[in-house]
Amino acid sequence: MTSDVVVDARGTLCPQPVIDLARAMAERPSIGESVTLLADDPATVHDVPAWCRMRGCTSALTELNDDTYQFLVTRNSAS
Amino acid sequence: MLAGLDDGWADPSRLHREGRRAQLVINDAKARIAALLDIRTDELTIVRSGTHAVRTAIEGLAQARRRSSAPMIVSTVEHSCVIDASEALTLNGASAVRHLGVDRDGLVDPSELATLLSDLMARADAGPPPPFVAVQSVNQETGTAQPLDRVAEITRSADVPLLVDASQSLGREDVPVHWDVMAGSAHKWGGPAGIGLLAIRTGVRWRAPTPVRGLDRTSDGFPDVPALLAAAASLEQAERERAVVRPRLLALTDQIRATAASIPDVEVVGHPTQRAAHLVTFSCLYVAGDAIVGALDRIDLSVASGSACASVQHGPSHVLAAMGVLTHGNVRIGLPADVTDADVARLIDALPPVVAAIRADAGTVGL
Repeated sequence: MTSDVVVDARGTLCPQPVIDLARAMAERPSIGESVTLLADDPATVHDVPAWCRMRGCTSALTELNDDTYQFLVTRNSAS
Repeated sequence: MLAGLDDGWADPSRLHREGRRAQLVINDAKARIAALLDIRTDELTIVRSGTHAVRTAIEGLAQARRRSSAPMIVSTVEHSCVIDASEALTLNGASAVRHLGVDRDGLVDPSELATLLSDLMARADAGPPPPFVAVQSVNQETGTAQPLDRVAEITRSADVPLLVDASQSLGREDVPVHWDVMAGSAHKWGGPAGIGLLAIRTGVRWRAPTPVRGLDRTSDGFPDVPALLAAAASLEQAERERAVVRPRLLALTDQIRATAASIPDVEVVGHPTQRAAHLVTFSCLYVAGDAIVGALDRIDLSVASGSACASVQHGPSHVLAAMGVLTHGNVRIGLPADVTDADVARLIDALPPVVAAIRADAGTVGL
């Protein structure tokens, strides 16, 4: 499952992938809007769900074969 | 320490006068440490580091239950030396490691442990109980103190030894009483490096992993006598001063916690009350931990970061990950016993503008 909006943060380290995600989600304030985040920093596995908890979103993680983490992040509450 | 050099240089296993004198010095230092831990001297072994104490504890516990196929049970927030030593054993055919999770505050759940142990023992092929359960006294990153009394009740009724890594709490918090095997490290309470403590209660299922002929079962060779004396003296001092130092540090860390929590999108990590007095950890959203460490260092405030960015080669902090909190932007502050109120006031003043400036630079304000 992916969103049409893809944020590619591969090659960057936390907090940058989370910042990129936050910027993309800031443009999508309505409930149900989503973004796909690609990242390869293992810290994102923990930090993306933590960010979602702080910002009223949920995330679903898929680990792709090439050491890439793909998150589908969806807004649950209006920002 | 000088007495250690004057009287403690000889081989203590020899019967000549110098050897006997060295043995007396060692025995005296061990007896003083044992008294502070409220154990018998023969339950205490001096080893060369806290890490070595942990390894010897784990190898000996696994050796004593080597016929058990039940897993070693290790909390997810243990110091990496506890996790690594347990996992290393599985490579040599020992049973697997089962992780005991923690909640958002970093606390293990005793009832989860009880369920896990009763499930293991209810299995049709259940052999001997697990070799040990490892739950630390105080966490090295968050300061969260585990409910060892309730954990010990469960391990005792399941006949499983409880290993407590007390490295973070000895000399700072009440000496743990609920344990079967305990490990500690002198430099953590302000003593010398090179002295680890391994305490094994009489009757506990522990077997020396590599027995040394002619020496007692727990011997780790001849200790560094001057360092051992310094370890005993520094623990005595820490215990003497604890009643005054601890409330003071607790009030100071309460202030730091309140300041950090007042900054937007900063999460103070670890249990607010069940905690060691000297440690504070918080995570700042959108901020690199080493950026804060660097900014504070420039105004002569030394703090640590357990964040992923500060230690890329090690990956994110396994403790913060286990708690489900942000692993980036993490700042860990450990207050020494002699920290001044003025230094803490300076930190409290500096923190909010430092975090705000880093966020402004990165353009993350309002995200």
